Amino acid sequence: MNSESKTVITSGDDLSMHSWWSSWTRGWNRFWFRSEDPTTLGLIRFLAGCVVFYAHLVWSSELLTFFSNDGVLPENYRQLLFGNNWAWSHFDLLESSSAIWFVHIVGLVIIAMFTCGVWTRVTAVMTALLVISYANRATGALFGLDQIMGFLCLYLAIGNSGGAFSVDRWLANRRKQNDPVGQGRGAGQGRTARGDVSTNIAIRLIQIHMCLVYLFAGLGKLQGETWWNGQAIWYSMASYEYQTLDMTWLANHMWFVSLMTLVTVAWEVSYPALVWPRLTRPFVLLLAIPLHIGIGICMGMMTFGLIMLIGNLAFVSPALIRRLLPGR
Amino acid sequence: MAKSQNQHRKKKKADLRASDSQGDATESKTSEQAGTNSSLEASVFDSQAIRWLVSAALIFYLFVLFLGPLSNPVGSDFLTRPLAEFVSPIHRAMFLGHGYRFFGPDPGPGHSVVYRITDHDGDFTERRFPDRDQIWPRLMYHRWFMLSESIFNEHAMTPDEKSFRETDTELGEQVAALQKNGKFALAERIARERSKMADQYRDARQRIDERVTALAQHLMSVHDGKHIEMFVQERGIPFTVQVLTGTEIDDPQFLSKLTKIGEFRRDQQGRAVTLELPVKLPEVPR
Repeated sequence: MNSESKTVITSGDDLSMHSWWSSWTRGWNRFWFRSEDPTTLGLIRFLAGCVVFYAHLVWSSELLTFFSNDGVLPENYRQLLFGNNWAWSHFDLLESSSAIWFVHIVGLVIIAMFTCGVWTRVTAVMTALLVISYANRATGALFGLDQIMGFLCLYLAIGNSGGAFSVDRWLANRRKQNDPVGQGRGAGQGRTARGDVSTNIAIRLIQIHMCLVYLFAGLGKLQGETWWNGQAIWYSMASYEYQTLDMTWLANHMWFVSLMTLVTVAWEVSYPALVWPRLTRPFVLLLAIPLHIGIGICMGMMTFGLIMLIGNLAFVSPALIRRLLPGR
Repeated sequence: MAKSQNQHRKKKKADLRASDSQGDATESKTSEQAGTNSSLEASVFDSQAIRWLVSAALIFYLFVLFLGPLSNPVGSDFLTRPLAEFVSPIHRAMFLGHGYRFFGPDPGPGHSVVYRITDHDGDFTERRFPDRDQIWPRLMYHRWFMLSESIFNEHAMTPDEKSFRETDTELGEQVAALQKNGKFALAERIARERSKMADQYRDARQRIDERVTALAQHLMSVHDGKHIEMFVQERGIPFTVQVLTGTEIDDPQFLSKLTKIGEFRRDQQGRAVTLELPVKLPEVPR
């Protein structure tokens, strides 16, 4: 016979509430506060950095047109549009053309350093600030590319985006080779820095933000008639201002246009639900490729198509990237 | 009974281990593969207080993030829009608050700015932007395209002076009628809305005027013009049947009438001076 033992009697409800809360907090901690390999974030940094650098390099051809006080965008336009002065820009402090050019070139150098992963912790923050600053000043000439670049650079500044595919990492490896104990700063597994929680938080924020973008892009389309009647893709490809590749021959195959239209809106609306489970994630990510490459080639928005694909990389595991890109 | 409790606890732990190992969205390697956390990193996020703080910051940030598309371009005047206004400094400072309604609700027609410029020799030319043949690379073309789209949208979404005055007068009459009937709270609410509408209209008009003036000044400077007239024009999208019968998508039949947005001359200092009568906005009692 067992000796009597004191038993704490609690009601069934208290136990289930407690276990619910425990499992909720465990799930939250697992989602946000696990250590993450920076391989994925590093690759995103490099690829996004290339697009960001190109996008800002292109401003050079008409820099003063868009960024000087004598240009096409009045200085106080943002203040009148938003009703406040919070859409800050470092260009507001610059008067002369030479100052604008000097700061622009310095900005390009910083973005190039960030892309290559040089002093990444610093250049990532500076790049995020630059992207936001340029976008704020160019209000009136912006589109989706700027919105995606903005949040990607913000999150890349949070995590250890220089932990892989970077000059910082290469230098750390060289230091490690010269340091037999392997306790040098930044030492990690092979050519990748150690996993850390900030990298995980950055990846999670990219993932959630991508879901937000697709969800509202899809829900917005559901309000329109042409996304329901299958005509929307036609109206996109037959727009003279957007057209880069003439796809109007598809007028003979409107069943296919309708299919593309319906698949597009269904994919966007279902993305936030289907991209998380392992079973459906590959299909969701694979469908992103023709969608965004199609936008790039047929509608002349290649930079936008590319930056969206780069954002989708947040759902690709570091292990898969290491398998696909050995010896990086 | 103690033995069964122990068994229950062991089972619970086993269940937890199983659910932990299921993994979640990303197949990321945990610390064994990626190397252990640095000691500083481990100590920072191991602290419950830090996790609570970071969690609170994340929840607030996600709340701010979601408010963007929930309030822009359409939102509830009673919930999401007032909340978005409250966090607008964060939206603006971090370049958030976007609607992400790409090609929604429907892909629309394209819009250009057409301008007729007379140079100092008296020669007259008509040009437009965006111009696919003149502007390169494609990304810069797209910037000019967005410029023309936003100018068109500003004009299209801002009522003309006559419409504004009519609406303003109606609201004024409503306020007076409500005050006469003793419904002061409602009268005050409508008066506030009227005042807000007038402020927004004033800002919109000033915004449009300054943008068009800046554009005129730039174009006259580039083309050495002394006089400029500016218009916006919409280009419709052909139906499939039209394309199948051989109509090109840049056929002039799809172009709308030109809508004038400004006329300017260039003064001796190189500034654009409007040749249109200034819009006199009504004073709205606050």
